[in-house]
Formats: sequence, C-alpha cells, structure tokens
Amino acid sequence: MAKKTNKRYAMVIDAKKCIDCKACVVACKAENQVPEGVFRNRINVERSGEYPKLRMNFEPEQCHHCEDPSCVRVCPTGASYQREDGIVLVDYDACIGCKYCMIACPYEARYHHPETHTVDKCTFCVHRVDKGEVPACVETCPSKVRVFGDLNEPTSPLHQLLSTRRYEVKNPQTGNGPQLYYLL
Amino acid sequence: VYTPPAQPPEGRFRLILGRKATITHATLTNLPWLNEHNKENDLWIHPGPAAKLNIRTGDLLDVSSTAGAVRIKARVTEEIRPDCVFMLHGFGKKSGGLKRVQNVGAADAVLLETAWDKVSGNAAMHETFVKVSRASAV
Repeated sequence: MAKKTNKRYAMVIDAKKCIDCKACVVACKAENQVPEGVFRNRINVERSGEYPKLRMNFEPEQCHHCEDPSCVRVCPTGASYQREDGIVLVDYDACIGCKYCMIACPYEARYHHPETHTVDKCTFCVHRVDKGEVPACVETCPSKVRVFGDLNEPTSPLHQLLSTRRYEVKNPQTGNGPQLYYLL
Repeated sequence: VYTPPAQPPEGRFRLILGRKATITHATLTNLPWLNEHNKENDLWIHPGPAAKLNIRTGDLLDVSSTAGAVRIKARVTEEIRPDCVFMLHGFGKKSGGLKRVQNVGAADAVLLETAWDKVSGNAAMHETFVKVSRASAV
C-alpha cells in the first residue's frame, strides 16, 4: 500500500483527436512487457454511414481505475486492490488466477497472463507515476489524446480540462465510478 | 498539357495499394507488436460490386492483372469507392526471414503493371486495373 496521500489519479481522453495509430498500445507493450496476444489498452473503432458519407470514431480504452471497483470487491484472495491514490492493481503473488475479476469488470480491462497464470491489467504505469512521470501511453501519444493527472490538484491540466469542458464516463450505471473521462 | 489518368474498363477495378497508420513500410508487417494489429491483408471492395460478384467478407478471391494473379480474402466495406479495390502493402512475402508474413495474404507487387508519369518519370502505382472474382475451387 502507498503511504497516506490525498492524490487521486485519473485520465482525460479527448477521443476526437485519436487517429488510431496504436502507438499507445505498442508503448504499453514495450513498457510493461505485455506478452503477445493480450493487451492492457485498446482502441475501440466505431464506423457508420455509407459511401461516400462515412464516419469513424476512435476511442482509446483501458482500465478505468474505478472509484469503487467491482474487480476488487469480488477478488477472493485480496489480490486485486486499490491504492489510496485510486490506482487499481493486482498483487501477483496473491492472485490465484480464478478470473472472477475479469468477469466482474464492466470494461473488459483485464486479461489472463499466459505465462504467469495470474490476471493482469493496466497499472497506470505505477512505476513511472511514483517517480513523477506520466504513463507510457500518455507520453507516446502523438496527437495528445490523453491527459493524466491528479483530480485533487486544481492547477493540473487534467483538472482544468474537467472544469472547463463537457465530458462523460463510460457505463456510469455500473456504479463503479470510472475514472477515465471522455471529453465531448 | 494535362492528360487525364486512364480509367478502368468495364468489369475491372482500379487497384489502390498503400499503407496505414500501423504499417507505414512494407517490412513493418513482420514486427511482432505491429503484426498483432495486421495479421493478414485483404482486398477492400464496395458492397455494390461485391453483391454483383457474389462476394462476401472472408471469401477467397482471385485477383488478376496482365502482370500476374494472387489469391486474397475479401473485405466488403463502405470505406472504398465502387470502382476501386484496395490492398495493404507488405504481405505475401517470399522471404523466409519474414516469418510472420511469408505467404500470408497477397503481395501487391505481383499485380502491379509497369506505368509511369510521362512528365516526372515517377512510377504510377495506381494505374493497374484488376479483374476480381471468387476463387475457383482450391
């Protein structure tokens, strides 16, 4: 557990800027040694219309690091836990690979690691964040779709975006309190 | 003097070949992190002509030009003009070193006819008109 903190990490996603280059997906794999065939983040693609009037929306998604995460609630061993700064993590030594959390997650953010046989997920690059850096996906994004920061820090760019722009969260009806904010 | 580009004759499609955000160069198709997003290339074709040719997404197609012929899977999509077909560059490689894409998908180089711009001398990559049909029994 992290020491007492009043930080609350979250991410703002300006999906309209996304160009589906998958740099975030590749950066995540490189940073976190994610094995082939599984992903910690993804880009959802939505197509509509008929030629020549077409629309395509790209929407990056990963673990929402929820306020009240259902994955943590269902974990029988306490392996899934939430730090005081809001980041949801898996204790790989305590995980028995039962996958309850994968079913409980409304965002399909978790995967079963084919080598360690534990469940794994986005960590918000906690090893970088603890050093004061931003997650790899945020750093690499060429069109600056992602903004990472502390909700309790009024001067942070994240806080300023959320206080000046309209936004939504995905599936708020789950009651999980997701912390990925999508700008409208 | 401007001369308009050649237009595809009846029953043929203009072959457009190219790249995408994750595959910007032919040899990138063999990189594990990028190959995951592009396992195999396919031939984009508009639903209109696809219906006439009885082609559905995933069907194996015979595509031919005067230069050669390839077999490739179909992708029926609204994302392309009805008179054109598109395939991603960098697949169907012959090199055994490019294990992930060796004989996977089809190579556009097999189909490309020789054409160049008469003023600049640049290769004209999109002046190949191909015939498309469902593959005959394999």
